Amino acid sequence: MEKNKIKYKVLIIDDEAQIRRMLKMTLEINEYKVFEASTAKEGMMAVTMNHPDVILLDLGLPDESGLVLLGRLREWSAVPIIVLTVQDSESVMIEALDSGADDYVTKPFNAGELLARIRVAIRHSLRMDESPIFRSGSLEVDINSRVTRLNKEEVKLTATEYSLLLIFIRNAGKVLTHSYISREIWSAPYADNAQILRVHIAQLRKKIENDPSVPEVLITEPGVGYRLKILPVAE
Amino acid sequence: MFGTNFWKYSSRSDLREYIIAFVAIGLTAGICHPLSHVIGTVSVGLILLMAVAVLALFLGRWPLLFAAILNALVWDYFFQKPLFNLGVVQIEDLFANIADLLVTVVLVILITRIRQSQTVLQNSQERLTILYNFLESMNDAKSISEVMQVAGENLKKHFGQEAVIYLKNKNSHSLSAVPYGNDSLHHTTGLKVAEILFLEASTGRTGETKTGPDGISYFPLLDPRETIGIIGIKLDTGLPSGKDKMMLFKSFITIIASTLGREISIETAMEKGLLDHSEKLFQAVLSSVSHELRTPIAIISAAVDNLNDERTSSEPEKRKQICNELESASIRLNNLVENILDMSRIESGLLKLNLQYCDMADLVGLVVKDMKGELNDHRLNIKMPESLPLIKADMSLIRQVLINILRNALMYTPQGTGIEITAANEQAEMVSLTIRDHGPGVPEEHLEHLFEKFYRVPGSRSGGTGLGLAIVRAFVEAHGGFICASNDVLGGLIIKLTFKAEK
Repeated sequence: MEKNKIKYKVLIIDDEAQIRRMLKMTLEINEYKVFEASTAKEGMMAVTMNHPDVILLDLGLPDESGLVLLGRLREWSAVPIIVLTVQDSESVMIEALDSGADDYVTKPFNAGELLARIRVAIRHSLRMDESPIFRSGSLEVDINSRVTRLNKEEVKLTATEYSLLLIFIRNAGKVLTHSYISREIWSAPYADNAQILRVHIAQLRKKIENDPSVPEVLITEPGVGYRLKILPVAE
Repeated sequence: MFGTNFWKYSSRSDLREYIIAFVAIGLTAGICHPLSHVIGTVSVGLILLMAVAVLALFLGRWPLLFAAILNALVWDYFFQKPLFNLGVVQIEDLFANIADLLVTVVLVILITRIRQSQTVLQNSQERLTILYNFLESMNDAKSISEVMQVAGENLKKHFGQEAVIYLKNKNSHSLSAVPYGNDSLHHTTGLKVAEILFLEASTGRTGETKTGPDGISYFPLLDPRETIGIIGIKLDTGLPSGKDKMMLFKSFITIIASTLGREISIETAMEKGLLDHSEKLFQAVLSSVSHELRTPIAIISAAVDNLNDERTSSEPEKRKQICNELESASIRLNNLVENILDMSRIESGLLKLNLQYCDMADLVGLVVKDMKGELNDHRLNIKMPESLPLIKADMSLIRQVLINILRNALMYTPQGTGIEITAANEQAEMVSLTIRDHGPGVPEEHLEHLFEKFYRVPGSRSGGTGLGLAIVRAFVEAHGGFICASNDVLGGLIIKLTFKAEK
């Protein structure tokens, strides 16, 4: 282990002590520095005192709903927040994402998945993604020259498809809600564009996925939206 | 009260009335004839006129006109010179004759008119009374079937008809196949006619009335908003005759329709209320049980991830910690499963008590030993009197009662605080057990709901299903015991169980 490596700080706000202990163990072994809070009040304090790089926030807190805390934090802080909850109701997730959460993970979660989300969140907040070439699996997009390649072969995208892809690349690894995508592309509510969005996604998948019927790069988050996965680059 | 004859008022006259008129005029003339020399012809004319006036009080219009003409003829023939001749001697007698006839006719017309309007008044008053009484009894009816019954009784009373009512199905736009009211009037062909009429009425086409087989007439029941059904009435003589009667009949139908509409809305609203309630309960169950199920699963899954990571599992200390978490998560899952099973035993009514003599002190000791692992930093302070009477109880259920109460206290009170368990038999024949914690207590307004199923004190920490204390109460009450909760003046919750002591 490198001694001088910067340790990113993770704040866990969850009232279940056992969950905190297990998460702490996972994060610490992966070189994160962990702070804990069990209530919204403690969480607020910890954010101001410890300046975490990323927050894991449980929505069911005893003193206040995690959604309320999320809204308050967003009033003054841009720190990445990953919502961590057993509530797998899609409407709650969408509400959390619309209130400013960067991503969400439902319990029970997979440690590898959670760590990947944390990495994405930190990279976004520190703007480490501003490379002119995006790569994921066999997909490669050169943002400067606007060239998209699948398995090293160029694919032609329409203007809408390209702008759609660009939105995903800028938020690579993050879940994007339907309404966010709709606002970004058409500046209109999702309800007006639900069908069109689906069609565009399907067309985009035909061009950037090896098997469009089983998407691996542009995946669906049921009931919430879509996510552009960052896969290891294929040889 | 009102016979069906009541409606038969009209200017209808029968032969009897003509005979009465004839006889009355004849008798009057016969009596007057010998006296005419004494009282004079003019007086006889007046007496005859009076006879007609008296007749006008009870005879119909046409017999009265007959009486008037007869009166004029009799006077002319029998009393005016030349006697026994319709001719006249002087011109003024002719005028007198014509005047007599005119006066009589006018009198007849006036009196019958008064009588008619009086009858109309009386009729409308009686109609109003009938409508009022009908409305009132319909108002008192408190359910659809009661409305049907009252409607049927009144139709029969005032129109002598049997009725059958088909109501609209709640969720589809069709008539229900099973009618209310007189079953003997129900048959499939009748229902078909009713259905056609229902469709016509609901689509806004005329659909006034239809007559089916067996002479049953069907009328739509129109609520202000929609057609709510069809009423079929067996009419022996066709539709009620006469404008008044028809109007009354239609008012009846309208009242029946609006009362039924009202009852249907009430019933629908009540059903919806019940549905909303059960939906809320279902949501509460779902969210609390799913939270309680998924949290330990999340812990187990995170622990497994950590165990799978060589870097963690190679350290014995970390491995030990992970195993502890796995163990407590599995205990938590097991507790939940136990609670759900207990609750379903209670709900299904399959709770059977295996009663044995038991010593409260012994039971408490057992529970405390079992729960050592869950106590963490809480301190237990147990006070048991030396000689406590035995109680008769199902040991395993009472054990579950104590465990649930203690777990509740452990979950909602801060680490390091104490929990006191005290037994006493202050009252003879009673053994009480008090569990007192030093937590924040429960706001007074929530105390009474504490033992309700799925009830969770708002603002309390997450976790818990709202089942534990509900099970406690059910088990205690199954033993014929009592349970109550109160707040300690010094803060903290007191739960007191009372059981009957055995001698």
